[in-house]
Amino acid sequence: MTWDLFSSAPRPDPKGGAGPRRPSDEELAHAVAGAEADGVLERPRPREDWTVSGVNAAARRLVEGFFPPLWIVGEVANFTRARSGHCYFSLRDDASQIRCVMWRDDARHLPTTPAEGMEVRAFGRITMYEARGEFQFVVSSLEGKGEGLWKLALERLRAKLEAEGLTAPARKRPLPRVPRTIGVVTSPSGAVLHDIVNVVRRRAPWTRIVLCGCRVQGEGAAQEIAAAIRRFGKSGVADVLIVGRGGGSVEDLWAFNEEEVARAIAASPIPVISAVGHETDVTIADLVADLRAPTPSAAAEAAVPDGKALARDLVKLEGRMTGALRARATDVRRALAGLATDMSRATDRLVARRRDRLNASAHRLHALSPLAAFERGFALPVSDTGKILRNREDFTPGLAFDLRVRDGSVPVRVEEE
Amino acid sequence: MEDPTLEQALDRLDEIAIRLEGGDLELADALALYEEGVRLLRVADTALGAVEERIQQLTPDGEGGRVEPLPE
Repeated sequence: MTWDLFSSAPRPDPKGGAGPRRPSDEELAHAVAGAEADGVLERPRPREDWTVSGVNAAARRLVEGFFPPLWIVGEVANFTRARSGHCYFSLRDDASQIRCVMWRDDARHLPTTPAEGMEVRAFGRITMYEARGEFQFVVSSLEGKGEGLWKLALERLRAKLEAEGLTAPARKRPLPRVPRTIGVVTSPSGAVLHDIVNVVRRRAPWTRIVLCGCRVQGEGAAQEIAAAIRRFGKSGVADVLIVGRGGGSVEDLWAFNEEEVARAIAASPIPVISAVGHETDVTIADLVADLRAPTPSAAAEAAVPDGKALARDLVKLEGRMTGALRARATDVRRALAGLATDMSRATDRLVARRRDRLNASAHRLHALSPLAAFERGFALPVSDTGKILRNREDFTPGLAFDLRVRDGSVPVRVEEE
Repeated sequence: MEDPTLEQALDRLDEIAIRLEGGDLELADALALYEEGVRLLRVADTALGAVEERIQQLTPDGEGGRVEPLPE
């Protein structure tokens, strides 16, 4: 069981702590005697008039003289935090209660305000508030049973961020495929940076690594982590961030549960991979990050691609390009060949058509030519002067003329009347 | 113009391969794309082969900080 480490007051750790001790009458008598001897306490004398202030002051000295700084267990009731920052509450058990105050500077360290009825263990000093004559317990350190306050703080923050949608899976951004630069937010001396560098050098040695070192535990660590994340966002040097630290206890990891860190991650313009603690540790930072990695090495593996695989991709791409171009050239060749065929076919068709037309004309001409007439059996009468005899009157009786036929001439005389 | 980043080169190469495989390009366009692809392959190959030796750090300087080499 771990307890609050943040209290400023020194405190004893009761060994084999049983329940709270109730002073016996004997112890009380001893204490009063001691106080009298020290001159701290003046035993009230009968018949002497005391003032109220006097009584209260004396009672206060008595009480403070008797009780050393101590732990009290009980249930918290009516816890209020005033505007001043001071906290007022009561601690109770079955039979009694005691009024408590926790001053602002001590209350600052509380992970969250205790819930009503929560079982707590409080360290402080018993005193009297003189002005009101009130017996009270000034608490300097408060712990919940079984890390109760821490768990409560965590649960409250988780619910708050969830309600704002900051933990939604839909909000998680994809990581860049081939980042040029990765930013690392971690302790400069831890193993986290070392592990990340090893993985990056093995997988993607061309990648730049930029560290923004900070404390990763203790007072002020959360502010430093958040500031580093914001600085990366403002500078724009990195394409992806790895935020993390090595393993440790709940307190060691606590900075990554703080609201400031969660908000810085949620607001980061650059995708964030969280790598906090061991595989089983889950912090608020893990819930709002774009990716949660179980270890820093795993974070680096997720952040950078495998250089060898990329080299193989390049070879494949070259093959595809060359293959495609070769296919394209074949297509062109085929197209050209096709074109040639088409062209010769078209030319042939043209020639055939011309030939047909020529033939037709030749036939027509032939039909019109006189030679064709001779073929059909017509004869041409021609006079001895070469004149063609057409009309009946040209054929005077007894006239001699030539009759031209297909294969020659025949002498002919017109009959006498 | 600045050389494309490795990621940009890979993305463009993928595009070029797909367009070349498409088969509906003019031969002149296909040749031009192929040439661009060859150039990008060279850029990518060089980028993949580079080795970044030094780790750098982001130090406070205004809001954005300054990048400088990390002392060993």
